[in-house]
Amino acid sequence: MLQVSLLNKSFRKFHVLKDININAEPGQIYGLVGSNGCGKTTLLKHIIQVYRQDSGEIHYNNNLITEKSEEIKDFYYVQDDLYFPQNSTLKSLYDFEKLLYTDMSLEKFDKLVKYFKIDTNKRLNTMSKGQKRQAAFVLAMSANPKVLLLDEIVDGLDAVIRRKFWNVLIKEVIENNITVIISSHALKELDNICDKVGIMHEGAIIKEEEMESLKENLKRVQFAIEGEYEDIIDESFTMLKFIKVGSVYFATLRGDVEAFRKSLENRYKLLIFDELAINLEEIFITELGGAGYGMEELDS
Amino acid sequence: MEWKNSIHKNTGRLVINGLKEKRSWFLVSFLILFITVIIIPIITGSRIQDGHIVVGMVEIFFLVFINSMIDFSYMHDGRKLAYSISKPITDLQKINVTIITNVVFTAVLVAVLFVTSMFIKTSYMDINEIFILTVPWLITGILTAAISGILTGNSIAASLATIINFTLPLSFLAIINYFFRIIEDIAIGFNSSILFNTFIENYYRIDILYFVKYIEDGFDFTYFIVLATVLVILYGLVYVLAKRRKHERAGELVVSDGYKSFISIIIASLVPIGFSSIFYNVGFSGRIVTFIILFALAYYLINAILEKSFRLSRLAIKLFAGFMIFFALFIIIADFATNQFEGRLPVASEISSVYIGSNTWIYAQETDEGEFDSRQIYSATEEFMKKADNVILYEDQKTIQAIIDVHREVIKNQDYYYNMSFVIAYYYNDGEVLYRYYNLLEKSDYDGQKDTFVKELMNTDDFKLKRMPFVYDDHYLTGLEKPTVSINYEGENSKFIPQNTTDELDIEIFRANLKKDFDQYLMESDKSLNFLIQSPNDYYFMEPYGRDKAIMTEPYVMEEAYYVELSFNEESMKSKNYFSLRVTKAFPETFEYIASLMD
Repeated sequence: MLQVSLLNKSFRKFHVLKDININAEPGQIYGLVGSNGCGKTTLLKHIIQVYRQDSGEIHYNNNLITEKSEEIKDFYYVQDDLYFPQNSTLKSLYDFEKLLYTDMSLEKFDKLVKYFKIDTNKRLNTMSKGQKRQAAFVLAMSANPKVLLLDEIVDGLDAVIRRKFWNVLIKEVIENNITVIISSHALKELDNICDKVGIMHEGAIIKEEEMESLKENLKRVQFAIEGEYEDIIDESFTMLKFIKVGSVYFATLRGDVEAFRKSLENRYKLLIFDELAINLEEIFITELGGAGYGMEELDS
Repeated sequence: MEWKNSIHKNTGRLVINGLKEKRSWFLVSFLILFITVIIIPIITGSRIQDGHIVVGMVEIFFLVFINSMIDFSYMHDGRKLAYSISKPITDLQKINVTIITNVVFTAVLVAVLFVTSMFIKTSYMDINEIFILTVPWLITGILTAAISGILTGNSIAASLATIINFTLPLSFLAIINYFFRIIEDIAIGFNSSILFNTFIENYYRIDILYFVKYIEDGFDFTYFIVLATVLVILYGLVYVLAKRRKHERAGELVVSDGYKSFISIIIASLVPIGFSSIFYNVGFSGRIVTFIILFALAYYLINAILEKSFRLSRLAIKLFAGFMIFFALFIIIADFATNQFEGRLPVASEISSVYIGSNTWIYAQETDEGEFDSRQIYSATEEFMKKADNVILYEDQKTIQAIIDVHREVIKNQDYYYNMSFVIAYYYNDGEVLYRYYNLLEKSDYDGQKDTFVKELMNTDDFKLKRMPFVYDDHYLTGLEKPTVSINYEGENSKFIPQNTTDELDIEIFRANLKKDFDQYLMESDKSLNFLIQSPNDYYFMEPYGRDKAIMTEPYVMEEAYYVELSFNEESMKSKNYFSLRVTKAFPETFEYIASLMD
């Protein structure tokens, strides 16, 4: 298991990571989501030991991770802003990385190159953004890492490639029991593949939970009543977000939905009441809204 | 264990991979060397000479510098850095691979040039000297580039830092020399050149550090010891700094706050030192004020550039204040420490010999075979001084005491009729040497006190004998043939005196008259300190400053004089074999004697 405990980092006077705690299990895809500039990339760079934390620790399978630890050799990081050495091709880069990664698989490399239809002799710097991402992903997969850190990896990929990409990733996680931490703003897609989510805001993890339990705890309902709705205070549920569209109310709440329905019935004549499916994007907005993010209103 | 970890298990293959990526650089480098070292000499019709090899070496320096900068540039770009460091290779392992790759690249280029140099016939210099000097420079240069790359967050800044760091020992020397100059200003009798020379010859062996010594003194095993020591120190710095580097600051000019502070102090100190030649005669307070103002200005600008802000950080202000306190303390302590030495005068009986004079560059015949050597007085031994051709070393106790008496007067006041400077060097019986340097300034209210002691000194037999051996040493001409004499009459009707007349000049009578004239002159002389401190030469004269300036008449009438030249055609003479003397009426006895020959 990959554990980050009480990790702190300041860039001069700016406290960029505040007491970060995350836990990602093997065979789990961990979605690291958050507001812009919240420190997702910085956190990933700490895990891969590009940056050194001011305090806190990172463990993998109960072993402390440092720049020199053996375990870090099984980590692979694909950065958001990709870099490839000048004049390198995918083939030359594979040969180079083979000197660094002990489990580099040519078989897997060839298979993935074929699957993504990448020209291995083409200079990487002449490729499109999407092609570069595929190339980087192929290399990452070929390295057979135990921990894979992907920063905004699907950004710039078309829908077809994205589908291929997720297929490969899910297969890899299932077959090799690897830990994947993926940072992305593509919440709808993460919704379908993530087992666990860490929501970051202003350098802190404000929520870390299994996707299933997260969805269980947060509910979204639509209802219509006679008259105007007024806040109901009840210990069994908490109203997190509430809007009215026409005569229908949409509410996001934590707690017992049935208790909320009963409260409505006790006070109003309930015309419509439906429980809606909640997705990661809604959870994200709700959680960040709770942290005061995006709650400002544009003056008319 | 940690050192073992600093080498990646695939280092060899990674280096080969790095060299493969340098294929284009190899081709370009070979092409440049081939054209400039081989082709151009052939086209121009001249054979390959030393100069071409030197040009080739300069090109290698340039190529290695560019390559090192490119290879360490991964530390200066967030993307490259994240790519490189995120791989299973530690910072130090990556740096080591880069260093080794560049060393191999350099070795190949140097080997090519060395092989080329074996085919040329050297004319002016030992071609190996080029390699003795430059090979360590290249290797240390690569390590310096690594250090600079670690300390900076920008490749241009890294290039500048490499140059600054490589020349840092020289910068220190410039700063130390400037501090010696301040000591010279505050301590009477102290000379920055003496302090500087003593410092670099005994404590700060910059010639060894930069391997220049091995060109001058020859190649020996210490060369390798020095090289190994320098490399270990530089690599130690790479090791420590790499572990402390804050990668998140890549992109800034300098990523290490400590280095930023250090470099801003060093550069800000060098700026006023650079300007010091313009403000050379500003005096002590002028020098201090100029230093502080220029230092503050340079410090502010350097910080503004490094921080990309016109506002000084608190740290920078604290550092500035700290340096100013250090500077003030240095002046106070230096003044206090030198006070006790300013008035130091030796006891004559402790002194083996003494030199007083304005000449500080000493020439001596080092061997009987006639090999000459020249040294600064500060690095010349007493033995060397004794052999010297252009200085007089007084050994007589009476003369030594007379010089100490003059010295005592000089310590009291540094004024005279005219500006002058001189050195006094006491060679103690126990081998110690005491150097003092004085600048006497022209003062209208000078009381003439020094001349009392100067006259006493100039009238000692020892002084006369050594300063004017031709006149006072009766054995000087023993065994020598009669010299060739030529005399020119100078005056209203200048003329050359014919040989048959000059042949009549009797050397002994001539000397006897000169002795009378000089005796008289030395007894009467005042304002003659200049005569005392001048180096002995083949031109004997009386007091250029010794008498009140002649009243210029209109129209100008040339002073009557006989210009006498004596040439002894004796190669075996240990001292002068040529003398000239302009005999004016200031030499009345001699003048009359020569005039009598004309009758």
